Amino acid sequence: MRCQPAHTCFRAFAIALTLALASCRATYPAAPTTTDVSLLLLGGMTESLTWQGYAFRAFTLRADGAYEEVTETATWSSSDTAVMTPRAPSGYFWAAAAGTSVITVRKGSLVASRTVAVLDSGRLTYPRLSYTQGADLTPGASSYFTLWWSEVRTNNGWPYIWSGDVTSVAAWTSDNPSIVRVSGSALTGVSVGLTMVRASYNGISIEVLVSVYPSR
Amino acid sequence: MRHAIAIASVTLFILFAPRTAGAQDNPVPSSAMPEITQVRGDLYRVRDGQVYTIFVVTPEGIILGDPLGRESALWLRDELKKRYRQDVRFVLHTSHDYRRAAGSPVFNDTADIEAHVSFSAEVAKARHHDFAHYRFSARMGAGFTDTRTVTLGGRTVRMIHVPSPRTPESVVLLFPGERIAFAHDVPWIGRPPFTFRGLSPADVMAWLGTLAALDYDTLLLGDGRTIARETIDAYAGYLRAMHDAVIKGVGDGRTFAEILAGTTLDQFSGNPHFPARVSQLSELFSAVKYSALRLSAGATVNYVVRASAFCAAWTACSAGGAVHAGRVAAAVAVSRSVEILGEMYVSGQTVSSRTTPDVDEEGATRRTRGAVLLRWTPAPAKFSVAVVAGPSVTVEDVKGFDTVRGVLLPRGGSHPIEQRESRAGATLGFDLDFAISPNVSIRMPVRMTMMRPGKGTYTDSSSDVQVGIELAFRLAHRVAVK
Repeated sequence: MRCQPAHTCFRAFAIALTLALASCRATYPAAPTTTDVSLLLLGGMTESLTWQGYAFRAFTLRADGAYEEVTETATWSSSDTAVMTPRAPSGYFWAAAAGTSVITVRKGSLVASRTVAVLDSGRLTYPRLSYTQGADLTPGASSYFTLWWSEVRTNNGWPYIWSGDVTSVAAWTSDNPSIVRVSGSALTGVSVGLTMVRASYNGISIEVLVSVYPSR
Repeated sequence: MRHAIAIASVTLFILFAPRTAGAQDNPVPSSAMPEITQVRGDLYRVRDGQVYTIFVVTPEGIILGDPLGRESALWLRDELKKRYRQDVRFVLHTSHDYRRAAGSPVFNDTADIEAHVSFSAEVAKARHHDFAHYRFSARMGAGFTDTRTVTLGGRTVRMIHVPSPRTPESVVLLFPGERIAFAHDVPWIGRPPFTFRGLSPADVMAWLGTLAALDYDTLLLGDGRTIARETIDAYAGYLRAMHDAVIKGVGDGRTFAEILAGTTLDQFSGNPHFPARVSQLSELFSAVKYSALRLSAGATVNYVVRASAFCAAWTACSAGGAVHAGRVAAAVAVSRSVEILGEMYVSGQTVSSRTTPDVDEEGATRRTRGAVLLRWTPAPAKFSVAVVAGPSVTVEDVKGFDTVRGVLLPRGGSHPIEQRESRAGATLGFDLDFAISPNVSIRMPVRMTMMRPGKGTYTDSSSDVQVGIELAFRLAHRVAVK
């Protein structure tokens, strides 16, 4: 058995090789860029009281939709360090005196800031509403805020501050349901961000600043 | 010369006379006693009933062909000694048949016994089945394979092995001095028209080819027939022409009808075998053994069918579709209708993407497939359809990335996707072939492949369909009759 004629072998192999090489050209999808497009400043509370510490956290949102926590690596500052004094660790501030201060965080060319009002914890007026927060909210997760009603009562002529849990009887509404959804007194994170949730009881309302953090 | 003409005349009469009362099978009436007649010079023929043998007398002894049966051999030993005062010095076996060979031990004392290398094995087999007749048959030591030349007293006798399916040890004796050949049997030369009747055409052709190479003018047969060389040559020429026409026709890819139409063999119209030309051609065509090596290559469109599971639970999804591919195949034809086909194709990439509100995924899949297929062409012709089927292995390379939004690194962000998976499957389909010459055809392969479900996350398909166009080259081929 032999090639008939020999050049047909070469021709066949040449065609096969050309087609095989043509099919071998590869172009694969490219991943999107990972540049940071925005900086989020989350954390803190609506009402900051003196002689308490407040932790803020910073996140960059990348072009590919992912978040990166930069609390440790970002630069934090307070416009009035007498009111909000930066302390360690990074992003932690001490409310030293009543007043307002702008908390600013910088990461590269990105800047985020928030104005914080500090109340003198010794000069609070009653009755008043306050809240405490459970676990940090993340999208899809729920967290319970406890709403406290505080008023001045007397006992044998001695005034004292009485506080009661009115969470379940208060009316809750979210300023931005796309960030936080309210169901009864349960708050469920919807997407990363910061929004105000309002709770009212007995004719008094309070703004609850709720941060929804990116999940891991 | 007159002697040769006389022998040829007798031969023609024997060959072509109407077969009445077994006259042809028994050309000479049997008698009780063996009979010795002179052929030419010192060459004699012995008749023992319906069995004939031959011997040549030399000054140094006698070279005897088949020793015949034991009783005949005993008679022959004494008769030869009495007539020629010589011992038998060589016994040359042409067949293991007991009627021809059982007397061999009678000459052990004086003669060298010569036979083909397969003689002993055939005797042993025959003795196993028929001990009564073969109990005296002697087994040989080492025999010869192709030819042996025996020389005694200035005379030479050649033993030539001839292929025969029934008697593998078959030998023709050639007496060059007398230009006589002796064969115990030529089973395929009978009353015309000739038919192979289950004989191997290859053996017949080889037999005739062996005889054609010998220098003789008369063939004596073991049953007493005498055939002139011209008769055998005419017969061989007719068969050779027919054989060559079939070989060439099959090699050129012609159908039997085309070969028949193109093989008129008009020059042999006077041959007594000619009237059965169609059946002889048919027998030869049926006995053709065809093998070939083909290479084909071309372009293919590969339509990848999307697997439904790939898109389940995704809000938007696309995968599969048509891509180009290069295909190369090598085929070994084991007959005109059956090929073992090894084919490989390298496909262009298919791009898949799927999305949920939080995740994007995009990948390119390249498929490389190797398959070993059985290719069956029910009716090989200029335009033919072949069915193919067989196992295949597909190697899929997936490369791409996914992007997870709204969560922290490292779960969030983009991640490369790399997946390589080999999947077994079954490929079946058909080829449309249009032969533009015996060695080149345009082929349209159609294939469908079903693969086992993939284990990888990014496996987007379990089946595909390919349609291509390609050139198929027959690089080499061999056609022979078996």
